[in-house]
Amino acid sequence: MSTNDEGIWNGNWQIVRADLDLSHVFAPQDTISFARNGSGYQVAYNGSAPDAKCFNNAVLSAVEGDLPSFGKFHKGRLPLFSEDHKDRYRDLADKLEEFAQENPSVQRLEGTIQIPCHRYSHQVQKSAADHDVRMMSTKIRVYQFPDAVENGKRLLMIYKPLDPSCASNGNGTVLGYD
Amino acid sequence: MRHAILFSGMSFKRHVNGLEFCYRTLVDQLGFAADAIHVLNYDGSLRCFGGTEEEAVGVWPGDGTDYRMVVGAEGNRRSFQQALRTVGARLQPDDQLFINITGHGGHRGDEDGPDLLTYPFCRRYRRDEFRADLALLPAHRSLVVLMAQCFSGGFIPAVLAASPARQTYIATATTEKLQSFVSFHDGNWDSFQRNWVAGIAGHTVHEAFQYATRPDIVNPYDSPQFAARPTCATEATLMD
Repeated sequence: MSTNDEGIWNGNWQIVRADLDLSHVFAPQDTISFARNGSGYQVAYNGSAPDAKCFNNAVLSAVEGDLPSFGKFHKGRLPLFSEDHKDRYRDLADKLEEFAQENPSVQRLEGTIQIPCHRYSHQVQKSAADHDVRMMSTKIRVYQFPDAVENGKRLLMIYKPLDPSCASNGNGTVLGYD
Repeated sequence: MRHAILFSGMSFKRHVNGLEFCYRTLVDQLGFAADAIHVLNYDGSLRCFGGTEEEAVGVWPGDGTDYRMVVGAEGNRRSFQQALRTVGARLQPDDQLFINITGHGGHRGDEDGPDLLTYPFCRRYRRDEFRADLALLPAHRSLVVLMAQCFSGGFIPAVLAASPARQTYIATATTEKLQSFVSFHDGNWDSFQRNWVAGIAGHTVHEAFQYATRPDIVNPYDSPQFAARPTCATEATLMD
């Protein structure tokens, strides 16, 4: 299978959890989809996240590479997300994040989006109360794992890797399924 | 006696620079013994994530001279635990321990709170693990903690709960739910860590915090916090 195979990214992907760095962009319960745009993919957002328009002009490019078995990270299929399983998803995010950091040659989509930072005045010092929202160029990588979730669903992982050109001191992970 | 642990996990160059600034301030301005300072960074060297070999042996941007701190171990939980054990074995009831954490932090968004992102591969050092490790220290006079990573304010309750010190002071670059930032004027540093360290020589820990949060100095996107237990811990200094 290749990231450029017709249809591999088709479908509506439901976001089920997101780290704080990214939860204002990928709100749980929202859905996203990927539409072919030339040689890349454009993200369509069908949700309520206040800052989802950061995708407007981003085109993610397909990166070919290895396709890891989900069994490496989790025994059996992952249950659908619920409060009862949130710790399991958190532990999985730990493993997938380390994997993504350790293995740069894995099949994925990747690109740069503009994430707004500190949209609300209570999030900044008084001296900057009339500040403009700061748009931070943020690299993301998108991975999928076939047949990883209950009912044969594919698992989606969006990862914001460490990037020395980024102004903030964090990373973040989003998980969802189709 | 005074002891210090300087820690950064998945460091960028600016974090290594910040550790060096802290090291020089402790030794040159505050009279710490160099062998009482444990430096833990990235892979156990002056290297950093995304950095070149040339940068690892380059000069410190503060004054263009060679780095002086000696990195003794990797920036991860195992090394931090070892440093705590080493310090703990020497720590006397009237001693002080200063801990400076910088680098990266993460937050899964749940009640487990923030994590440190450590070497290698951003391995998570969870807040509860940090609290448990810190709690193993013997009783001592003063614990001062400076944290500059994203979501660092989420460590405040853990540090206060775990500290066996008679006086504990913690200053952080952010609240539990916000990120910390590079200095926008000079990308060689993280803003809050640099400013707090710049303000500590000759002053109390809380005067350093007040300096670092001055409107003309603070990065407007940081959200600095502090806590002291008891309240008089704000009057602590890092001086002998």
